[in-house]
Amino acid sequence: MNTTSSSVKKKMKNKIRFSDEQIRCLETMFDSETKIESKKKVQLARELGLQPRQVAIWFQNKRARWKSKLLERDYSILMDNYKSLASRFEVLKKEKQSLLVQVIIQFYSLLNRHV
Amino acid sequence: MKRLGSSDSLGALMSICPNTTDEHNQGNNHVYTREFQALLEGLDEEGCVEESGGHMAEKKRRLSVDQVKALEKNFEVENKLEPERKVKLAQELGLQPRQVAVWFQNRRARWKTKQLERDYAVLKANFDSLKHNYETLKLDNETLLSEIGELKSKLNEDGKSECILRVKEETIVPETDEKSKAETTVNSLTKCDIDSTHLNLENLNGTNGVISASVFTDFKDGSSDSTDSSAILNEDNNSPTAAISSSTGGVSPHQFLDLQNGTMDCTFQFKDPKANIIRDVHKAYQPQFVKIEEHNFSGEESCSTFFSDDQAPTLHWYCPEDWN
Repeated sequence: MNTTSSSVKKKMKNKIRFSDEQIRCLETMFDSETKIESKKKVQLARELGLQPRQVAIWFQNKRARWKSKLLERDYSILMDNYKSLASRFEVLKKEKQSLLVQVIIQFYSLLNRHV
Repeated sequence: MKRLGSSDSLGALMSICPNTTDEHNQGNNHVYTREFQALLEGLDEEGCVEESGGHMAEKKRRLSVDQVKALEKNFEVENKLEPERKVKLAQELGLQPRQVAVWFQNRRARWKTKQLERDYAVLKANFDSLKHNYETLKLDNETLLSEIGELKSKLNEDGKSECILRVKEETIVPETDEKSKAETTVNSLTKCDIDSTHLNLENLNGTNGVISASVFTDFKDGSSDSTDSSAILNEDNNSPTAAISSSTGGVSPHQFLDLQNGTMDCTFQFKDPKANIIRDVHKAYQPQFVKIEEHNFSGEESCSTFFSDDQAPTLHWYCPEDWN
């Protein structure tokens, strides 16, 4: 996803990069809504000097990239949570073992009372 | 999560998900696929796009189904492309080498995302499972704690209480851990008494010194034989089992406290004739553990932690001959 084709290649000479300004505007629009309506799209395209289709496709791609980033972040958060839960779990396990022993001891003490 | 498919026409370019070929199944699929179509049409990270009017018809031509199939097959074998393979493939399929390269690039990106989705799902399942076990364990401990309290108070009472120790054997079958990424390990318990509730104090994962114990509380009144049992708990890390041996009037099979692998089984029954208190200890414990390949959270504790610090490593308990 992060591999970039260099902007200058024989077969890709028709490609242009959007300007920083264009990208800034697009990003801003994206921040408010990840999907853009037709009307707004046309308007934005006009403002930016782009074809509506270009704007549409940019949004498409942006959603895909954004979704991936989100997933990466969620994954790492979940992993942290998992690790901490796991260590708490181990603590609890040991606690249980010692409690178990205590139960047994108490029980047998009770038994011994009737000797 | 969005399903991926080659349902719409341009989706054939990606041929991402072989399991969906429904032409009419556009609704769920097309968003993701379309986004990658766009990628394939030549956008890079920064939104580089072909000039609006100026693209050649040839560039826009979709790959045929056969071409995609061949590419996919190739991708399965090896997802990175060397120059020679690229050229060869391009020739075979009647494509430009560049097209093949770009296809592989996008395909790898696509695969990475899918892989992340899979990893996330596995992790989520593991987490939920662990959480469930954690909650259960917590409840177990609370129950044990109250059990201890009640036993202690009983100890301080003047009145007699009948204590019947019934020791039963029980089989616990641990499933073997496989190497697969996502697996479930479930330990099953057989209940001995119909009306009994049991506290299953079973821990996960037998490989590192797990102690399991079942404490049964029998609701039935005085139905048990009184058993003498002399119980010897011997912690010996070398021997796989220590024995709680019982010499009884009835037939009580040997019980084992297996500190290495596993199981101790005792039935505790309390019947206080005065207050008619019957202990109610119940927990259903289901250790489900789905493994993630890079993580192994099985406990490292050795048997030596089974006994808390102020306990002697070897305990000898004897029950009197005729205490009933």
